[in-house]
Amino acid sequence: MKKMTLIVTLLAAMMATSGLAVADEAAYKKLHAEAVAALDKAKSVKGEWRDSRWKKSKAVKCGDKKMSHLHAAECFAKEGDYKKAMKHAGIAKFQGEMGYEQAMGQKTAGPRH
Amino acid sequence: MKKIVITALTACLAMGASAVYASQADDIQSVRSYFKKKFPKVPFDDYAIGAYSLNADKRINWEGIREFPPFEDQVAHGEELWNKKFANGNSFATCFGDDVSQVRNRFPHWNARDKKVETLEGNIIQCQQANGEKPFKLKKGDIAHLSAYIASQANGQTINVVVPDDPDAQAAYEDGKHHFYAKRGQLNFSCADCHVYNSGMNARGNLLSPVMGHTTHFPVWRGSWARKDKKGDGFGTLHRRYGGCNKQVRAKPFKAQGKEYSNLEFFHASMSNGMKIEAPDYRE
Repeated sequence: MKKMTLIVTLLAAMMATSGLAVADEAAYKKLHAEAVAALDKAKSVKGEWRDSRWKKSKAVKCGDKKMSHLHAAECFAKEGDYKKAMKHAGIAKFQGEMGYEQAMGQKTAGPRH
Repeated sequence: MKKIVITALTACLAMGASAVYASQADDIQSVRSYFKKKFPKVPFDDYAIGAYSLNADKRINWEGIREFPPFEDQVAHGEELWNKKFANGNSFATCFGDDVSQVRNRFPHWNARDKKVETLEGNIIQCQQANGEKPFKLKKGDIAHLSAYIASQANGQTINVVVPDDPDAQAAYEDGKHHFYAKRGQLNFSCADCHVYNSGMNARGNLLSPVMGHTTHFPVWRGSWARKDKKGDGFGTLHRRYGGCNKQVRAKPFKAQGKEYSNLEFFHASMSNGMKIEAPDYRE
């Protein structure tokens, strides 16, 4: 009986964990898509920031390489670390939104002297 | 009647011309007045040496380095590149003309046919492509060496960037001007924040240089670039510097010799109109 309970508990725990992982992956994919859309919008007004998704950015370390926030999100997702993947996808999305807002706010920039 | 038509036409032309040139002339005047007020003791010609015009200690250092310039070998290499024949028998002189001293001061300029700003480095690449040669990399190395040699042959000549009577040329100038004054990047800085409003102040150990005179001494040999390069070659083009500035304020840099930086150069070089070319030069 004891054995049976242990097996059932283990199985339930495994199912719950995999369910969470699937939910994490889905949430990450959604956030990643939103980040890409925000960055594309910033790019359309030449407002992208350095560390959002520039290939040469060295803002975040994932494995033994340094990279941009969006690339780091992809790297962490590949490693199965969705917590970190979500964090960096969120930063990339935020930077895309801010970059767009900044560029729009600077549309009429000119000399102040 | 003829007289009236001629007078009216002349008046229209004059009005058109003044409208085109006014923005550039006003910008130059406005920048000069600003710096005259900000640094009343700095003579106009001294702005050509950049930040060293603002700090006596740094100027002494710079003068010392110029006694034995670290970039002479690379300028000599640039001369070799200028004289080298392409595989088809042509050379850079075929594209730019035999008199190398009359090249640097023609750039940047507006190309009315292609509707774009042409830069010296951009035309070097264009020349190579037109002659079936493998183009240089865009920011450092051979392109900077050749550009440095060409610039050195124009020393003493005056910068005179002309924005012609062409709405597209004026739009390119205004685009470059907007790039200069618009804040960008995570740090929310514009070129003007450092090189107009805060020029003369320090950003860490660096003294921020005034925009006037920036383009007189490019390409430059920078100590910080030499430290990064395996061979200790510190040369870089103006567009390399633009990219570096953009990266420093955490904005994604644009492509060297692309439209953004070429238009910026059109405006930026205009701010040095009337100043003498003194290139290449050393910078920290």
